[in-house]
Amino acid sequence: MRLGSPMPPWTQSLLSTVLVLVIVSTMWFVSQHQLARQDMRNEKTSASMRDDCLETEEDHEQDQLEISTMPASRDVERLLGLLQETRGTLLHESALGDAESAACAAREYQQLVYAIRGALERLQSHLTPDEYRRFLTNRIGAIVEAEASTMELPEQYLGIFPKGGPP
Amino acid sequence: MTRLVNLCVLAGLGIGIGMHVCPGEVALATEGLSLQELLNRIEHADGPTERLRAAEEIARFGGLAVPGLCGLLRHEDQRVQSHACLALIRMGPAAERAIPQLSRMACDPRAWTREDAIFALGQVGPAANPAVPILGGVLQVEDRRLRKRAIQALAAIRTPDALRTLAAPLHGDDSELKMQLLRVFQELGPSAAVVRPNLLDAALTESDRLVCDELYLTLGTLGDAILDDLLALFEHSSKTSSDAYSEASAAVTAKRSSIASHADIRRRVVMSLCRMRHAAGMAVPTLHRALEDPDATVRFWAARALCESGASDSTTRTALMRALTDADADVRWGAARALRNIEFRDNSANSCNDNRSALVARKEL
Repeated sequence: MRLGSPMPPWTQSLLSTVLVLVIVSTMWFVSQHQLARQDMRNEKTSASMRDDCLETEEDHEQDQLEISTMPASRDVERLLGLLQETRGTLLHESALGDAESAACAAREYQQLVYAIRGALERLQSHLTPDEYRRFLTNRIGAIVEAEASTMELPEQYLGIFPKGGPP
Repeated sequence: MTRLVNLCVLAGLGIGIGMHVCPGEVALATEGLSLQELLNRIEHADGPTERLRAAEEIARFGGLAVPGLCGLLRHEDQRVQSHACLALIRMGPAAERAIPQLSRMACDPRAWTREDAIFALGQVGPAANPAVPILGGVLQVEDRRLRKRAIQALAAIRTPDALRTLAAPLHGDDSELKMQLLRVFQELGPSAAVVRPNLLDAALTESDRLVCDELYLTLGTLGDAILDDLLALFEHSSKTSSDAYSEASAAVTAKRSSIASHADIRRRVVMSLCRMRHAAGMAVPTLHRALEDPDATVRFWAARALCESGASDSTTRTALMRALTDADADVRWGAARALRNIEFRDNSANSCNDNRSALVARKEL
């Protein structure tokens, strides 16, 4: 083939086909690469979301740990410990049948319930609603919370006082 | 022959470019289903899987498919309606032209139809603003699920109208709904600043302690926009004279004084500043004064807020050091914690600077 002479038709077709193949395969490669990058980005997003969740949980745990060292929170826990002890005494005295000792223990128990209420209220004003809820869930638990909010001492239930209220 | 080959080459090139630009549509073309055929498939499919696939594929057509889908929304078979709605949900903002039809569906007596339509309206985004009054009406219904969907949709629409509608029930009596709404505003953060007056008004008149605390915490998430109001409120509630609220309206003053004590307001304002964290930097002088407040809880929150604000100037340190001798144990605890955090931040900054200096020195060497 001389320089400057037109290319034969079959060469033109071959070159055009090669050109198209190159363009199409490049586009295919780029689109695949884009999809892969998209997948990777999605994966990264979900991973960072998981990390965020973990970090938030860690933050909450750290907060709760700090809150547990707060005097108001320690006061609540001390009173709850005392309540458990007094409850044991109350049940013991009432089982022994000593009405006077049982009544004394019951009064002490009731005073502690009031004190716990006050301490919880104080703690509540030192925490955000979320922190307070988490504190109750983590440290005290639903049962004790229910116990502290039940102001009717089970005198009638225990049979310590005659009907009509405490002496 | 050559022309034929060239034609084939050009066609191949066209297909290649088409595949690159819109691969979805080519995938549809390869299945040989037109939009009309897909719409028919939703109407006459044998099973839910087939319908679901058709709905998902229709969504790829975008706005082009909306008129056809609107026709299916009027279909008597609820499965067809539901899948047409699903296609609109998947379409998102492209389903804008379906808003009138979806708004009508949101008033349907059947709960499931309403739920789908409300969800789709939310997915359209700000363009669904005309549907806001309808969604506001749904906030009043008993059905909690529907109410939740309406809240989500209004939050997604996020226009000033939508946010104000979302704030309207804050003056009602339903505490559960109020808490739900406040959580949404907290998530929206500074972008919900448009409802600042509504939140402030609700905070001043709220009688439920928990909701009131949450309202102030929500105010703290609005960013700088609320700072001046909070500081003004703190100043007002700090005044002990009888004309403390002379600048406020008489009605609000009466409500305010009957609902919360001045100390409670101050506590909540400082709690709000605490939630603002570093954004409360401008409020540091007020927090210094709050550390001298007659109420121990206010002093405690001031120490917490100073800890969160990141302030570490000498005045803050002195104020916190003074608070270490406070009569209240919790205030002392708060001050100690704040000072410890300041020290920790300083040490971190110093070690960073040391590293930087070492790096510079190494480069110079």
